[in-house]
Amino acid sequence: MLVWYQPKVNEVNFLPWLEHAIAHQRRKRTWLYSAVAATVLLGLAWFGVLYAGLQQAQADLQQQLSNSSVQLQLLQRSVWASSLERRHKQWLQAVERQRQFNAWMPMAQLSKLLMQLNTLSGLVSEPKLVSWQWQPANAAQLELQHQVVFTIAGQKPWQAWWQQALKVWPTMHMETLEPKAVGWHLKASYTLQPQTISKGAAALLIVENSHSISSPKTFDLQLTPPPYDGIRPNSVNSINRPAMEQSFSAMASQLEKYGQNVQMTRSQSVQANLKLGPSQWALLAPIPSADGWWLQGLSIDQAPSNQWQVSMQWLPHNEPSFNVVPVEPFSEAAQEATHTSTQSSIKRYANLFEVKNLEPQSDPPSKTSPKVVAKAFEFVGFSAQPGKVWVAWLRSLTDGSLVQVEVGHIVDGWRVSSVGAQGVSLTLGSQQMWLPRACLIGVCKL
Amino acid sequence: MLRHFVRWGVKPFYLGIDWQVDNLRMVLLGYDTPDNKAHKKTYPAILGQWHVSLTTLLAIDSTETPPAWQAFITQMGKLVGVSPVHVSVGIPNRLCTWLHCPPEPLKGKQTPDEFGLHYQRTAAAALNIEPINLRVCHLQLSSNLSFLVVTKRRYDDQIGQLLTNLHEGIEGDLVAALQPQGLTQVVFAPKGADRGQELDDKNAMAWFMANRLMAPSC
Repeated sequence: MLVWYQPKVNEVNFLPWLEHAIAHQRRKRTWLYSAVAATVLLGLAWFGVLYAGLQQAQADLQQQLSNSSVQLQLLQRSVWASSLERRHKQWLQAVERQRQFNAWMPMAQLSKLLMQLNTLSGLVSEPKLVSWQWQPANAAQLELQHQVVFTIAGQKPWQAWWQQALKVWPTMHMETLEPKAVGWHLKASYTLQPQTISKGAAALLIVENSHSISSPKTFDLQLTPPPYDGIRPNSVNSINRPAMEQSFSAMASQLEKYGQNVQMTRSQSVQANLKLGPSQWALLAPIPSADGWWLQGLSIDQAPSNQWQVSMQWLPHNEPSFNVVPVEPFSEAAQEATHTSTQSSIKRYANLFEVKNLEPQSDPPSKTSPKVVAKAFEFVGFSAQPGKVWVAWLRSLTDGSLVQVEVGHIVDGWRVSSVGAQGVSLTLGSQQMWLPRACLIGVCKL
Repeated sequence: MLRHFVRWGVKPFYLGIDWQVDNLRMVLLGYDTPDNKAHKKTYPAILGQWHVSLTTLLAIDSTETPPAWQAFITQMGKLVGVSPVHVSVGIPNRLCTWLHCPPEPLKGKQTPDEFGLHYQRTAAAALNIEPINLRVCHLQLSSNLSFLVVTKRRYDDQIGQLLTNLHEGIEGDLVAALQPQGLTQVVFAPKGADRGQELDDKNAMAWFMANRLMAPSC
């Protein structure tokens, strides 16, 4: 290395040390800048490589998670599919239990009332059943709550029986208590309070009973497969007309047990009217039932000829009802005992009814006569839109207000049994009434 | 890197060059010689003396090394090996011009480079010569007395070319300075067999130029 000596203070060097020093400084500065630039570039490159590695690791992890999730879903679906038949069977069993329960529940309530009436058995003046109705408590929520309205007649003081009945039905309240020529008439009602369970909860019950899938609560993945609609025989989206016809024929065959005195009409709903003698009262239980049909109303009226005039009405129902009282997994023996007690209670009441002389019902049930309703309402319009329930409009002749009715609605105690373009059919017990349309074309002018 | 560490422990050699009228006289001093181990690090020994005619050196094209200078370089290379060589060249006073440098107020903070350019312009203005043709050094003798020592650039170009050839001929590093012989009037050259070769009287200035590198300046 050739270096020109850099002179100190008061020293002389004529050799180009200054240019040399400047060039050396320039080289050093250039090297420094290059080193800094290289360091920065290396740092950036290192960060880039590190970032790319992290991104790759993240992508790999996400890919692994995705693959694991897909495998888990496939495994879950395979497990779910393998248990399809068993769950289908359980579902059908649950639906059948529910249907059986729904078929027996009105009669169980009737038998409880008859049992209470039998508590004063032996006495001539014991309370007697005049009418009994099973109807939805709320017109907007037809399936959620049911109401039992009954009318009894007696001669003895009614307070003792009422006290006993209140112990059985704490929510029962008296609607009317009318003195008659002989004795009194008492009309009371009570509402059944079912424990509402949703359809999804019912489906989950089946899933939990199957023990096919155990989902850890701490894991955030969706482990429960989507609801499986294929096992539902009558789902909302698959209204099966042949199945409905089949279930209707099954219900019609069940109605044959009441003999030939059954008048069966079918429009949007199914209406059955029949008369039963005391020897046939126990045959009323269970109520005929079939998949796709829901018992919307049941009324029993005591006819003067010692017969029950029974009127039943069913509405088409797309899904099995899980909104009524949940069916406990009773044993067969318990169910059989319940059924036997129900029928025996009815039989006992029928036997007592046969041996004593029933006083003729001088006063018919205080119902609104057809003429009164026909004078009170007028059919003015009808609407049938695809995918919706047919509705009709009735105009009140008293105050001019419009009432929109569907099948199953109750107007002044009368139940709408069918809605059509030509008129509305109303039913009250065994009585039927037809409200024809007031105009021939279009919507009637108000 | 290892080579640099090894050279740290190697003592340098000192070469003094005296530029006389038409001659260059060189004296090489050194401590570490193979045949004089006893005087190591005690007194410098004269390891060589040379005399070259300056006219023969300057007559040849600057791109080639003159033969006489090449012979000197060859002998030097054998003596110094890989050791560094410090060279001090003394030029005659007649080739230098001493200018009185009036103190000027400093304007702001100036770097030594800017001072150097300023002194070069000042000397060029005083001598009516282009600044690029001058070499200027500043001497501050007292607070109110300072001089600019000026020489022409062609002198240091010639010496620089010779030193470049010398650097290319030896293995070690070369640190060189070109300075006026100054006010040196009497030179006492050492005598004795333990000082290496016997110094020729004509080489006394060259010995002085080499020896001043070894001792710190007062």
